[in-house]
Amino acid sequence: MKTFDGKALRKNGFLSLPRDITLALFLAIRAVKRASLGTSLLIISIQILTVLNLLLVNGILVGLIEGSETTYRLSYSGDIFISPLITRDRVENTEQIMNDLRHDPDVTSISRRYTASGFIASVPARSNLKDVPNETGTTIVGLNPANENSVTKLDEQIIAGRWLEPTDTNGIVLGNRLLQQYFDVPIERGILRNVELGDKVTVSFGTSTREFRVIGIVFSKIDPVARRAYILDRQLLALTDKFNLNAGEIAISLQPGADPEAWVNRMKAKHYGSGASIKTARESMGSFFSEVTGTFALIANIIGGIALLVAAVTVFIITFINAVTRRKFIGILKGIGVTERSIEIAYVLQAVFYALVGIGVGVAMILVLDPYFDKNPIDFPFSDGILSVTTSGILIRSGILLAVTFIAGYLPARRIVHGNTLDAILGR
Amino acid sequence: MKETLIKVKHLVKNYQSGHIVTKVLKNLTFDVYKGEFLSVIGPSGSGKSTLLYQLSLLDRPTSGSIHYGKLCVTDLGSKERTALRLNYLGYVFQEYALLPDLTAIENVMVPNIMRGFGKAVAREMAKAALEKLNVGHRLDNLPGQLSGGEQQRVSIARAIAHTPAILFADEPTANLDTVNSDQVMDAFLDLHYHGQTIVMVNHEQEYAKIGDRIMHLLDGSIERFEPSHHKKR
Repeated sequence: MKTFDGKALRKNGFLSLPRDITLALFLAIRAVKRASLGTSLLIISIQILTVLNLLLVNGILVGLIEGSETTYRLSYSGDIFISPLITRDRVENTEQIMNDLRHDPDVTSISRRYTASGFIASVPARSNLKDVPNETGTTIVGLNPANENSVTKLDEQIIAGRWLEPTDTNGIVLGNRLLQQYFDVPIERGILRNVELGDKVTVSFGTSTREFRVIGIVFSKIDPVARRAYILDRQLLALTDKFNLNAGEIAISLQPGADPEAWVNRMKAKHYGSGASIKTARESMGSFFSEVTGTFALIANIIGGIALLVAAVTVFIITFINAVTRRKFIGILKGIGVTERSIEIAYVLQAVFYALVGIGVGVAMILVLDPYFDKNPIDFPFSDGILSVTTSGILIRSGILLAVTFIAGYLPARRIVHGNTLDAILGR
Repeated sequence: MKETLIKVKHLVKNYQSGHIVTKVLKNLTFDVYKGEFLSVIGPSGSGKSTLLYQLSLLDRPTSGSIHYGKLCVTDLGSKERTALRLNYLGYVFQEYALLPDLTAIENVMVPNIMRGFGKAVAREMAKAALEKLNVGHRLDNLPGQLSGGEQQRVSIARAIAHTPAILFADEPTANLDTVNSDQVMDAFLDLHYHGQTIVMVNHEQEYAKIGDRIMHLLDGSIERFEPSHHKKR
């Protein structure tokens, strides 16, 4: 006959964790297998929606900014952007800088741009004196088309006509926001009206004026690109200060993998920073951009936090209802000697299983959507929105959801399981 | 000489609701012997089930003591009581008390897995117990697919799969028809024949008589003990 041994009982009480887990797994697997399909689908759907809320909303908001940054870098600044100091209108020592850049192994391409403020007017600017002049003030950029294409590929952003060629001495390419038909704003002044491809326009810098023909229209959501006009560099120099060859700005592409910040620091160490502003693409976008990025990340976190809270409450309620309706059976399990810890683990395992399925499906959807958004970005007014998801982001958010589910599954189970055994069995 | 398995001394159980105290068990003192089949009968409200809950460690008495052998179980902590129920006691509930998500064999496997047996061993033990109770053909059926008698026999199989020191049964035939009740009582008789100590609460005098002794409870007190004249197999 078995002898009643108090020491063995105490030992049993503390050393049963592996047994608790084994039985909890046994109970949880069968509970999931034989659960109502509708309930299971409901719980999994909530988990999937939470994952999407955590990753998709955050990814779109951050991707919106990232898309903006990428567009800025690819169509305007390059990886490194050198511009004049605030007290100057040209990049000092341009020749020396260019010479250094040409011999820098990290630099793949350079576009040296000349810039000048001027006026563009249709020909004629007005039919009679009462008309609002059909003209706009803007920055005229003189550039080498081949060099520019190697850095920014503006030629691929032409929506009408074509990009500049070295022989286009009379040709001008206009940014889309200089033209009313491409920039739908209810203003009459400061924008060119009814200027089409092939039309003549005059470009004026102070007293110098010259006529050009519109050969192309470049489209961009980046203001510095969309609000500019582009001509050959030698034409601009001829119209402005032909003896000052210092650039208005220099856009530089680096080798893939090169660290822009390290490169900038290296240039500054050579004291080029005293005659020009040398910045990475992100730095050149200004502090406003960083603030917007931070704001969007905060909004994404708030939305994600609400989603987590909703998921936690849902899992809590479902586990609580599940445990309350099975209170009698929990009592019976305790009555036949199953430990409270084992029953709690069984409930937590069920909740975690549903969370894992939801996370798995949700992440799979994100991984499908990510390349889709890359090919079909969302058309925001100031950016092409892509989906910004990183492996660490997915792991962190999935981990948080799992932890929240764990707690939300454990608390109600614990509350019911710790009740009086006899009361649970007798349903009182 | 009879070996005492359970020793009950001055057992009192009161229930309190607000200021009203209901005395359910009043100073009970008795022994249960090894291999004995003790039937407890009495009218409704006499305290039969309450007594069984105290003896089987599902509830704590207000005062008095219960000893299993030399071990005083009255003051044990909840983990030790759970471990004691798991390893030494078997319990047959009134309404079968099977887990609806688990098949017959899985219901019987649960306590054995908790005891640390591997699933394969637990399954063999469960199968043997179910076959012993003549429900070996219903191993993979869910409780809802079994008759009342079959469910109760599965419940008995779960209680005896680990050969407990004491088997407690709370009106095991309460919800069964005569045919099923007879089958269930036959199962208890068979277990007793093989030396199982049984404490059974029953409302039917006829089934109570199959025990070795009958304890008559009235208003929470032992009215008398009556020896049974039922012949063992």
